[in-house]
Amino acid sequence: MSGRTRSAGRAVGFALAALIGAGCGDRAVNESPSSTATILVAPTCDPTDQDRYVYRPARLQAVLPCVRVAGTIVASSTEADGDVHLDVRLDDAYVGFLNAGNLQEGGNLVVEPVCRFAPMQAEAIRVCASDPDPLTGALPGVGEHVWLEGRYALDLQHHAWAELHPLYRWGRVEP
Amino acid sequence: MSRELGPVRWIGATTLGAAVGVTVSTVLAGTPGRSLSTVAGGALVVLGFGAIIGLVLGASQVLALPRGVLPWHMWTLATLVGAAFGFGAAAAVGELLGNVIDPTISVAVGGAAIQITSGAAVGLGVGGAQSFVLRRSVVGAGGWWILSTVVGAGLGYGAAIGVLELFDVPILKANVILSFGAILGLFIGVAQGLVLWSRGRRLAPAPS
Repeated sequence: MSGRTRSAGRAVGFALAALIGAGCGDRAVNESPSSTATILVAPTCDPTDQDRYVYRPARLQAVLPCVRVAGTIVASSTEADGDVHLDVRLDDAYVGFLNAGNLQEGGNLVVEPVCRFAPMQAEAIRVCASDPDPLTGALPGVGEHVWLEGRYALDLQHHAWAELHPLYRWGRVEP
Repeated sequence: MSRELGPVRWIGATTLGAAVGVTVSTVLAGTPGRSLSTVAGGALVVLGFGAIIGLVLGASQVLALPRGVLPWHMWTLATLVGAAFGFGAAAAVGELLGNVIDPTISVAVGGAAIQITSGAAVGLGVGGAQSFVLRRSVVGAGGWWILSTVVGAGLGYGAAIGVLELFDVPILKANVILSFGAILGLFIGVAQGLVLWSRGRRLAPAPS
């Protein structure tokens, strides 16, 4: 078994545990994963069609179609491929989603909504041009404590770190 | 009568035109272009994206030229058409290479191959279309013009994406779209400028 496969297997285990604990199953979550916060979100985690608009799909190894995490945004930047790159400091209940690759990102989970604007990176131009309904509206700002739902994947181009890519939806965690 | 063409003006106009063109085009390809996203798998949006860049780039370059040297409407139209097909070709080439090249090889190597080749496609479109207009005023410049634009756009595209993706320069990261257009335009401007200076420094007015 390769290291990548073992890594993916561990990630699936963590993800399944977190799904149960974080409310992506069939029950509402009304307790904070880390303190007294309440996650105000529907108890389901349904993928949207955005994974069809991930360019060069082979660079991502999909692990789970949809998971929910909660954490604090610590960095946000736009990228030439049309995606926005969010670094999320996960709440304690979700750190199982991280792997060794995430140390390259300061121990944060990478979260990427795709096709936020017309990309310049050549391999993404047409893919995003064909996306009729990307995730629109404001994205969470640095310092905000939020929940996020997206496809859980490993980025094979970047140390196989764990990501939510694409991001499907998000919301603020009310204190 | 012949006229001098200042190199700084040409490079500046090309850099500014590409930066503004990419920025305007990105805005227009967003929400307004989304209604056309299902047409031909997004190809129409890609062509429009390139056309707007070409329109602004061509108009900006015309302003840098001495009056009457080139037919401004033909130059602008040629750049519009050339950039439309150039970006269309770049998108196709980029997507093809992106799906062929192993994603686990070095990002710098794989990415450079994709972006430089795609940029060269942009240059082939723009340079090829502009050469039809330019050769009326600068005798024998057609082939060199195409070659220089292909090289400039290829290196510029690769440099722009490379700088934005591989290096953490805050001012560039905060202005990704504008920075990309400016870097691409700078490389094209320098490459085309070399041809103008060497072969067409003293430009003849366009034949009436």
